[in-house]
Amino acid sequence: MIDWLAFLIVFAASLGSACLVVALYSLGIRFLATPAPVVIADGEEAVPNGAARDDEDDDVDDLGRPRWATAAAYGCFGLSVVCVIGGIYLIVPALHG
Amino acid sequence: MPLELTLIVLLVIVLALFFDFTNGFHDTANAMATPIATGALKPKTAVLLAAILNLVGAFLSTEVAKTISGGLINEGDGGVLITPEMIFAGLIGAIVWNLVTWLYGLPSSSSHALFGGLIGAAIVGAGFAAINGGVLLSKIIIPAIAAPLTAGIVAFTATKVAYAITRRNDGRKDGRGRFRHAQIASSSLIALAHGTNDAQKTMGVITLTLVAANLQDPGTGPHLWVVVACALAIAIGTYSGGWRIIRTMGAGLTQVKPAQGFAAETSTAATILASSHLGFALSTTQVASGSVIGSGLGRRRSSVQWRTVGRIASGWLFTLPAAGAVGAVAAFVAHLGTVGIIIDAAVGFLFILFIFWRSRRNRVDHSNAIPDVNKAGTAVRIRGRKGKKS
Repeated sequence: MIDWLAFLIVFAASLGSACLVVALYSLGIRFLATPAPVVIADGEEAVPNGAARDDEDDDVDDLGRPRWATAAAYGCFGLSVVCVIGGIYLIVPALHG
Repeated sequence: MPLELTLIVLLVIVLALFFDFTNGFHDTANAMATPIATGALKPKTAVLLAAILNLVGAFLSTEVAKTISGGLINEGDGGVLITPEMIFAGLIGAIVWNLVTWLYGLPSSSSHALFGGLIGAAIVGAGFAAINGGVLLSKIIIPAIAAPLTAGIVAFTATKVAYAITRRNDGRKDGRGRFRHAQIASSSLIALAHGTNDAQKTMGVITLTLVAANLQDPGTGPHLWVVVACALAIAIGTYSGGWRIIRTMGAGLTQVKPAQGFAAETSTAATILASSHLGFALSTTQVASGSVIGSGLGRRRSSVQWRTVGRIASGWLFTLPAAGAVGAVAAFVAHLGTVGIIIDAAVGFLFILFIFWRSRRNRVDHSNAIPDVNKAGTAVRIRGRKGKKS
């Protein structure tokens, strides 16, 4: 009477897709928050020893972020956009028949 | 065509559109409570965006259901003939319950209210045998438990993921304010999905009434004016913003932060899309509430107001029987004939006025729905600063 298999599939699909999208966008933010390397001398990087930070409303510093980090961030954001387009595809009946 | 039939069909159309309107403002919170709470969208912008997406969504999907109750009532061959009077009484039950829950700021499923009202009316018309208990269990009761649990677990996990990935141990900025940008996209998806689902329900009610009254051929789709009217009703309802429910969902259950809000909205969107495409229908309202609770449990330093959770859960418990009781009384009175229908309509109208009058005692609108919105638009401000420096 109750289609438990369908329920399990819905549960797994929801969990998987939500975590995928959230992970992608979070990674993008993580890359975007990559700070400029602090050079002490002879190309040696200093290890920032600030306190643990767990803030809610932080923005990111745009100055000095390595290029690869910016590229990776926008790659992640691009993949998130693909997921949103996938969502629109699923919502609009005319698109998937 | 007898005068009585015209009157009842007209009343059903008016009530169905008003139900659609309450459906809209009841459900604005599902998509927009969390972005309003985090300041990702200004309150009025959020409800405008949701209204437009609901309007668009209503036009995207106009394939109405074959049966009005989705199998809850044994319709058709050998079953109950659902008359326009029953639909009329059921709509009164659904509207009354939607307004009462709105007054108390309780998110509750509009479809369950509609089914409840119809069930009550059908029982009065044809006895308990009219109800399909198996479908009631598998389509309403089990999903009502499964929806918040599923969404809660998904949102809890997604929130953990978001915070784990962005957590820093070097004292630098973690960039979590930027989740506000993503919140706009995730909440928009929920609003669009809502438009394609819920406006359709009212189109179905009106179309099936027209068919029952022999004003439309069976098996044909909704008329264009029905589609337009339903789309507008749900959009205007959404724009008027159920601020009381937005307050409950955005601030009453737990304090919502950007990363958490994004995780909750993504979970809601993912769960709704999975459920509507993989064959286990879940209520949007129950999914959205579950997501907010789950994300509140998933974030450190946050607390969930279990008293509010309890109030919402008891509201869900009462939705079907309460809307059913009102629907039953309305159906009983409607059996008196035209006089009964006029009495029903008059009492219903007075009740609507009473609720709106009662709601003015403690006004909740866009300016005070969420008492302390997180500081809005930090990300936007930074962008301006960057522009100045370069």
